[in-house]
Amino acid sequence: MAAFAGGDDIGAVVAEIGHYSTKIGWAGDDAPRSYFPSNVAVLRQGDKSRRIQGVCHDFYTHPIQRKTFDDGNWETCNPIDPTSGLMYDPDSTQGADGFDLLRDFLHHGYSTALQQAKIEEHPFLMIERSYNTPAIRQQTLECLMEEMNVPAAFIAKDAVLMCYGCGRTTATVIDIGHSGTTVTPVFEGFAETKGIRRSPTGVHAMDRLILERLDALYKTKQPAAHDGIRPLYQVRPVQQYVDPEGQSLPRPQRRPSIHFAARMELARECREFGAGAAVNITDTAFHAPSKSFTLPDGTVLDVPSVDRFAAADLMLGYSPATVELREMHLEDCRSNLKKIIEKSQYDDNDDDEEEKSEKDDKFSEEAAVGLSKRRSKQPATQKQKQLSSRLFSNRQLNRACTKHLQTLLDDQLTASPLASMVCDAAYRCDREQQAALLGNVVLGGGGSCLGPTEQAVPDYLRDQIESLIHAHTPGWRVRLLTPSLSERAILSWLGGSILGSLGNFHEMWISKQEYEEWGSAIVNRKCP
Amino acid sequence: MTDVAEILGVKSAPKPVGSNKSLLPKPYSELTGSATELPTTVPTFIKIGNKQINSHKPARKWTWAPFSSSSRPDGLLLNHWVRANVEYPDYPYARFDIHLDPVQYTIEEYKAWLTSENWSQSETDTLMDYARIFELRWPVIHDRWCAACPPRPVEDLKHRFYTVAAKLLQRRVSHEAAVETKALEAAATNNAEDPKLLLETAAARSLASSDPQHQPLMQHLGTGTSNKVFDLAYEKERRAHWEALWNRTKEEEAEELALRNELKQVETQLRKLKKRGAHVVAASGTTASRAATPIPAPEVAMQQVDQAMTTTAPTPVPGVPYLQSARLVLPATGGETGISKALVARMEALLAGMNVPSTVIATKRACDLMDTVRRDALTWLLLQKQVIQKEGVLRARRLKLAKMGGNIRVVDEETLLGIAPPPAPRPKPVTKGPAATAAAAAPGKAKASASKTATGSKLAGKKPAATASSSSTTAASAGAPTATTTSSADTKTKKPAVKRKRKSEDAPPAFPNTAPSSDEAAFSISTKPKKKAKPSTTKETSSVSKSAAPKAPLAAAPAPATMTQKETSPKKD
Repeated sequence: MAAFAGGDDIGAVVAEIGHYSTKIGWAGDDAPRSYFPSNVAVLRQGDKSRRIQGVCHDFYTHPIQRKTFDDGNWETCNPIDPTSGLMYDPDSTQGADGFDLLRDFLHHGYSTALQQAKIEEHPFLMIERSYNTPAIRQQTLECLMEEMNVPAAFIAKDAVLMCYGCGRTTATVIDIGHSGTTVTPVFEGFAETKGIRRSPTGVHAMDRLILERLDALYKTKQPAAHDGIRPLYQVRPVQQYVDPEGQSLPRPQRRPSIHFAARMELARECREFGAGAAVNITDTAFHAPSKSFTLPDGTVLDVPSVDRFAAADLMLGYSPATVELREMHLEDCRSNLKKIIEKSQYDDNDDDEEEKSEKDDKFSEEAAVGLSKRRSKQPATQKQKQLSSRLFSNRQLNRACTKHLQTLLDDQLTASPLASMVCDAAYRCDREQQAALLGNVVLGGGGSCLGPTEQAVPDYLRDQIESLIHAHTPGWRVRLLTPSLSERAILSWLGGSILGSLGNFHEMWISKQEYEEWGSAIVNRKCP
Repeated sequence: MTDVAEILGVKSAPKPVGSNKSLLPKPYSELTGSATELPTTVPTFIKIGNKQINSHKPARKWTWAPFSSSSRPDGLLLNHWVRANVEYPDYPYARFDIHLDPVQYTIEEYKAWLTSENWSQSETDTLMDYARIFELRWPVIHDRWCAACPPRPVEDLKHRFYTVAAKLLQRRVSHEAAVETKALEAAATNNAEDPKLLLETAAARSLASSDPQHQPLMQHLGTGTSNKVFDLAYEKERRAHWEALWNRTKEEEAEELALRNELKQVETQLRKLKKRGAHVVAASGTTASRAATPIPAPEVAMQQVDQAMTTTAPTPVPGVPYLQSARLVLPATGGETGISKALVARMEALLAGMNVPSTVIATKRACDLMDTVRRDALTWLLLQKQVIQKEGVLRARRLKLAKMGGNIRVVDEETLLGIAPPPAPRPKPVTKGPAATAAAAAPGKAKASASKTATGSKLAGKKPAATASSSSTTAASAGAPTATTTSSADTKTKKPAVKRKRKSEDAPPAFPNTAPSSDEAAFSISTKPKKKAKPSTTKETSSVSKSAAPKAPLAAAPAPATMTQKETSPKKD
C-alpha cells in the first residue's frame, strides 16, 4: 500500500466505527491494526443521567470482571443506532452514547494497537455512512476537535472510500453491512444522495435467521431446552465464579441484552466458520450435504443445506418467503424510525425558545448544506468549549436529524432484493451517468463474504443485475468489482488508508485553526 | 585443476593471488579459528529494485519532520519522513493543488449586469459556491442543489452558471477597455502625433463599444467557459429526446425493430438490383432529374447499336479468311461510335439471366443467332432507358402544371412531352428475325422472346418458368454425349448456374479444346450432334430432345467447317 505513487505517509490514523466492528489503523497500511467488536458491555451510573461508567470490550470471550463491578448490571451498548445505522442516540433523555463510546473506542484502539500513539499528534480520518446527516457529522467533528484534540481531521463517506479501495472514482457501491445494506452511486468521488437505497436487512438479520434455525434444530436434539441454544457463559463450570475469598458464587444472571448478544455471537460463528451460510450456486439445494456445527455445550447440530442457503437468500433472493421476511424487517425499521421522529418532534415543543435559537445557529440549514459563511465572532476559551461540548443537548442533535430521518423513511428505505436496489440506485441518477454507474459495481462489507466460493456472491449478483437491466437496455455490461474475501469486510477502511496516505490529500484536512475559525459547519463544506 | 595438470604432466599453475586466506587479516583468522575463515556472509551489495545499495556505506538519514504546504492557507503543520539535511522549498505535492477559478462578483456587479427574473441573488450565490466546491461536476451539483434549494433541472443550473460567467467576462473586458480608452485618449491629446498610440486607442475603443456577441471568443480561465452562451433550448430538447427514447414501451421498441429490419431488407434488395443493372427500373421515380438532358430519338438508339456492333465485327474481305468466332466479340464500348460499358454489362446480365451462353461454338448459324440476340437485347435496353426518361419528363411536367395551378388532366401526354405521336410501325432494326421485331415493338415482351431465341425456340410452347429448369435438364442430359465440347479447364464464364451444372457432370475433358466453350454452349448446340448421334446408338432419347427435335429449325443447319471437334464427339460416345 505504501508503494502508491503519490503517497506520502504523515502518520494519519484511519478509523471506522461500524455497527459490528470498529477498525482503527495507520493510513498506508494493508489492514487495520485494531479490529474489535463495536458491541460492548457497559455499566451505567445509577443516577438519572445514566452516563457510561465502565466499558468492557471483549465480553464474549472474557468474563466480565466481577471484582470491580456488579456483574448483573452490565448491558450491551453500541455507538451505532441499528435503526438508522448512524452514530445517533434516539433516547434524548440521556447523553449521547455514541460520542461517549467514540471517545472510549479511540482510546482503546490507540492504546492497544497503535503503539500507545497520542491522539493529539496524528491527523485523524473518520469514516462515516454515506447517508449520514450533516448534524451528526458536525457533532463528530466537534467531538474530535474539542475532546480528542486532534490536530487535523477529515470525515469521508464509506461508499466513496470503497470505490477508492477498488481503484475507481465512479461506481455503484454495494455495502452489505451489519445493521443493513446500502447501495450508493458514487460519481467522481462524490456520493449522490438522491440515489442512496437502504435496506434494513443486513448481516444482523441474517444472524437472527440463523439463530432461529439453530434454536429449532437444538430443540429436536434436546426437547427439554426451551430457551434455545446456550452461549458459552451459561455452560462454563460453576467453579469459575469464585469470589476472592475462595467461596463459590451462584451463576450470575445476565441482562437479556447480554444474553442475546452472546447467542448472536454463536450464530455468527455458525455463519462464518461452522455451517457457513452460502449462496446456492448449483440449483440443488436439497441435494447439497448438511454441515455440522458444535455448540459450546457439546451438542452437535447438523445444519441442513436449506438453512444455510436461506441466510444468503435473505439478502439476494426473490422467493416469496424471503420477500416476506425482508418486508417484516422493513416494517420493524419503519415503525422504529417513526417513533424516533415523533419523539424528536415532541422534544421540539418541549424546548424553550432560547435553546432553539442557539440550535438554529449551530445546526442551521445553511450549515447543513455546506454554505455557512459564518465565522465565529470570538474564539471561545478552551474551558467554555469543553463545557458546551460536554453539555450539548442530545435533543438539538435529534431535532436537526429529523428531516434527514424523514427522507430515509420516505425515500431511501426499501425491501427489494439487492440486484433491484442496484438498478434502482443507478436509475435515480442522471441518464448520462447510468451506463458508467452500472458498468462498475463495487461490492463490499462483511455480508458479502459469503461462500461457497470467493466469486459466488459477485457472480450471482452480476447475473441478476444483468437480467434486470437487459430488459431495458440490452447492450449494457455490468462489471462487479470486489477484492478477495479477506479484504471485503474492511474495504472502506482500505480506501481510507489509501486516501489518508496520498500526498495531495493533505491539503484537504480540516485543521484545528480552520475549525476554530469557521465552526463545526466547515465539515459540510470541506468534506462534501 | 591441479589434478589435471599432474595427469598431463604440466607444471601446476601458481596459486591465485586473491585467495580467501590472504584476504582475511591474520590476527582475525587466528582468533576465530578455521571454521570462520570463510568470507563473511553479509553481502556487500544489496539490490533493491534496480538500485544497488552499498551496505558498507552508512545509511542515509531520514527524519520525522514537520512540513507545511503552500496550498494550505492556514499553515497546518503535519509531520512526515524526509531526508535529513535536505531543504525542500515547498511541499512537493502542493503543485497538484489545482482548482477552478471561482466565479465571483460584487453586489454592484450583480445588480448592474446579472439580475434575472428566475434567479434570486442568494440562489445564484449558492450555485456559484457549489460549482466551485464540486468543480463543475454537474450531476453532483444538481444532487446537492435539490437537497438545499427548490429543485430545478440541471440544464437550468448549467445555463445560469455559464451565462453569469460569460456576462461577467464580457462586461469586465469592455469595462477595462473603456478605462483604457480614456487613459489613452488623455495621452493622445498630449502627443497627438504618435501613430501607435492612436492605433491602440482605436482598438480599445472598438473593443469597449462593440456588442458583447461580437467580441472575440475568450476562454474564461479554469471554467472552460467562453462568451458563447450555453444553448439551453438545444440541451432541453436533447434531454426530452433522451427521455422519450428511455420511456418507450415494449411495443414501440418492437415496432422500431421491425421497421429497421424492413429497411435492411429493402436496402439489400436495392443493392442486388443495382448489381444486376436493374436499378434503373426500380428507381424509375428518380429519373425526373435527368429530364434536362436531351433524350435521343429511338431511331438514333438503334443506329447506335448498329454502329457499335459493326465496329467490332470483322468485315469479310474476299480472299482473306476470317474466323467465325471473331464475330462473337462483344460490341465496342466507349468512343464516338461505341456504347457505354454499363450498357454492355447490363446486356450481359440480361442474357445471363435468360441462360444465353456468352460463348457458343462459332458456327455461322450460331454466330448469326448470337448477333441477333445481342442486338435485340441492346435495343431493348436502350428503348427501356428512353421510356423511363420520357416518363420522368412527363411526371415533372405534370408536377409543374399542378404547381402552376392547373389540375387540368385532359392535356395529351404527347403534347406535354413535346413530341409527335410515334409512327405506328416502328422502323425495323437491321436484324432479321421475328424475335428482334417483337423486342423492338414491345419491350415488355422482349424477355420472353429473347428467352425463346435463347432456347433455340424448341421450347416455345412452354412457360418461361419451366424454360430454365427444362433447359438445365437438357444440358445435363446432353452433357454426356457432348462432353468433348466442354473443357472444364479453361472456362471463362463465372456464372453460378454454370458452376452448379459443372458439379453434376464429371465427364473427363477428352480433347484439348482451343475454343472457349461452356456447358451452356454445349446445351445450345447439343441438338446438333445428338441429331447425328441419334440414328447411331445413344440412349440419349430423353423426352426433351425428342420433343425438341422436330421443332428445332436450327438443328437442320449444317455445321461449319471451323468446328471440327464436333464430328469427333459422337464417336467418342
